[in-house]
Amino acid sequence: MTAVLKTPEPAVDRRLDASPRAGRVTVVFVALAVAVAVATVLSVTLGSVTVPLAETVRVLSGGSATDTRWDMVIRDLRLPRTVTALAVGAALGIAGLQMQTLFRNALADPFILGASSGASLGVAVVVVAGGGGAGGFTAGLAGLGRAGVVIAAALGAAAVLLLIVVLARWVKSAVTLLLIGVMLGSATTAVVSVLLVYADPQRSQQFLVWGLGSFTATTWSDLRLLVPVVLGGIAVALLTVRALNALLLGEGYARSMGIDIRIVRLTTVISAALLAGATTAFCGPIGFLGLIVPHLARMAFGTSDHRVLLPGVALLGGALALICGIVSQMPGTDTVFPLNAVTAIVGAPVVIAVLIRSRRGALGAAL
Amino acid sequence: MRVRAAFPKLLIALTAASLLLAGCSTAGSDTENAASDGCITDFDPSVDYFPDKSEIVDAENFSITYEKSYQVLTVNEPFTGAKPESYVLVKCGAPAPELAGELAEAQQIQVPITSLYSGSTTHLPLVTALDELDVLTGVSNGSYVSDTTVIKRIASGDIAEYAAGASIDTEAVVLAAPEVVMTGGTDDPAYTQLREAGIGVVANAEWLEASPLGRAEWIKVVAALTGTEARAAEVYDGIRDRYLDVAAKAADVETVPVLLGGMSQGTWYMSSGGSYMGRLFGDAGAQWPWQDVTTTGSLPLDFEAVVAQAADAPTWLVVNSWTSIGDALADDERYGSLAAVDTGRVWNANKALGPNGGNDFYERGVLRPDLILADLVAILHPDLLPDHEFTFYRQLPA
Repeated sequence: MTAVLKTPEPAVDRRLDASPRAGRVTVVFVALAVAVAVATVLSVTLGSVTVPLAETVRVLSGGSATDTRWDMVIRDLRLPRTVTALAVGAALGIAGLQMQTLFRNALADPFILGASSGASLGVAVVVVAGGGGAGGFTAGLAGLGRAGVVIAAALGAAAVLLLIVVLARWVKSAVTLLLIGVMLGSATTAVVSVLLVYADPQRSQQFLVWGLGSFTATTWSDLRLLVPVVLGGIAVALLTVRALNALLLGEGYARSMGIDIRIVRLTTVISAALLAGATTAFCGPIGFLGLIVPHLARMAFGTSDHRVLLPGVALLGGALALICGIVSQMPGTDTVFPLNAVTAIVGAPVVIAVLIRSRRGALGAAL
Repeated sequence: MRVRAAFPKLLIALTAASLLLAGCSTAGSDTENAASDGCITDFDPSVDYFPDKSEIVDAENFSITYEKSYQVLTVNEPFTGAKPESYVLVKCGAPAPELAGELAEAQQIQVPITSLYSGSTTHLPLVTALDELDVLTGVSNGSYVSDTTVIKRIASGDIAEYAAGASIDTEAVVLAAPEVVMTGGTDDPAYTQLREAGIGVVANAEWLEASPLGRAEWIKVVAALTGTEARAAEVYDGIRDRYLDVAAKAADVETVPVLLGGMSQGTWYMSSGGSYMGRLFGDAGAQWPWQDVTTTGSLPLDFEAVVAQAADAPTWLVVNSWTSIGDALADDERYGSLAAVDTGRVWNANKALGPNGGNDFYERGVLRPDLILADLVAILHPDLLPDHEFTFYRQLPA
């Protein structure tokens, strides 16, 4: 593997020539682990309600708080949202990394192939088809309630991504696949807007809220599904690490290394589809994280080696998602700020900085 | 180019001609020199042609001032953040007043009108309560109408639908040329085009009115257009008296804690004390932790704040599509931790659903806050209204 990276090639980026510096990598990993730990603690301890630390610890260690409401707050609200943020952050970070490498495009993100548009379509169908009175989401999918929305979103995302996977078999170039993904996304979004035209305004409102993204809607029973799917997606991603490293040096180079590009492309798309599709189904389309986390990780680690980046983006994504989640809860107040507004406010300056860097050539080469 | 420019003018001319014909076709004989259709046949500048004047008591978003042969309706905020807009409502048969200053640019509309396009289902009860349903010739979207008479008229073609998708079919409205299109209290570029085509566009922004009675009082706007001020006063005074009567009963007893609203994607949307629903809950003798928040609209809250401050309220009031407590738990299992779910005291304002699934709470409820308030008082203080028949609220079964 290291040999691969050291092989001199005319088009090879200088930063890839060297194997990642062990010292720097270790330091960054330790820092990220600490960041995740701190953010996890903050996420469990901060909120609109002040729960004494001793009580929090007691609930976490399996006991009961003196106030039963604190039990509920810690166990059923803060813990699920913390686990959700960690899983979603890791999933979107990895999916974003995969897409950026696969398409050799700095602006690729987990949704570039239409996962979120597909999920939106599923939710919009529920919103429009949901009979009964005004308000709530329940009427959709035979009164399955939240489960109905999640299933619809998952089906929508799966349908679009499956189409991509099928098309990926015939498409020769990654750029073409990327364009097809974007086109499919636009077409799906167009269908959504047509559906919403005919939806009751009250129900369109529900769709709007779904689109704001949130880590707070997931319950333990949701997590029993979300976490295994995300872990499965990550497992598939791990299988492609070597191939993704080779892809950094160009498809021609990867092929010369004996890598079957089509299989790599398919595996990567499936893995990203699982990760992006599942998170979108449960949390709505979470913007920006999947785009910026890989860039931040590359800057922090100073390498594009996926053996380092894959666990790196998982940790960094988890930490950032936790922080965004905490900010959106606006600790100390009762109010909630839309999650996607927070990720975008954090994300936009980073993307701009990245673009400026890429103009200097550093980023383009790193990809 | 010339054709396009001439087209609206032609329409105005046609409309004006038809109005004149309507005005002249019947001979007036009563004391005000007005025909039976309300038009003046023998104009006398010294006569007051508005013997019945509406007095605005509770509404804050509109006002009406009277002159001898015309009245000026002013909507303070036609849509969120908009500048005030005035309409000069001229008694038909009277000469168009030549106005200076701010009113020079105001639209002049001949009243009483004989055709009305309505941009919101909230207008329907105002029209029907005034017995002026024949005037209603168009609704924006029939899908959410609850009133069965209106639904029948849409089916028979007596009432047209002019915005069945989300956007207004401008051409269809221009061709139908209703005398007034009443907005739903939002802005739409089509309204400018309709005005240019000579169609009166009157803003109905009752939803920006925070007080329940104020919202109901918008019946007087429809009355100003249809010349039914006396009837409107009678209807409104009845609603107001009943509302204040029930509110007075509730004011005498101790307030009871309630839980309001529900979650969407993990965020709880809570009524503030200053909102329309919040005022109803307050008047019904309810108390909840966000009652002192005077902003209108609902507050997006962290669920844990709700758990900590309101989860033990014995009664939970919602307006959504749940038909059972099971539906609530299917939406989010964490609702199970609420005291009201335990005791089964969950009430939903979806008892009166129209045949197409529209909720009459949002339609007739706008005119009848007295009925909503009575429901709420009967839920919260059952002793005050024994034998109460519920109109909008129902207790959800397990």
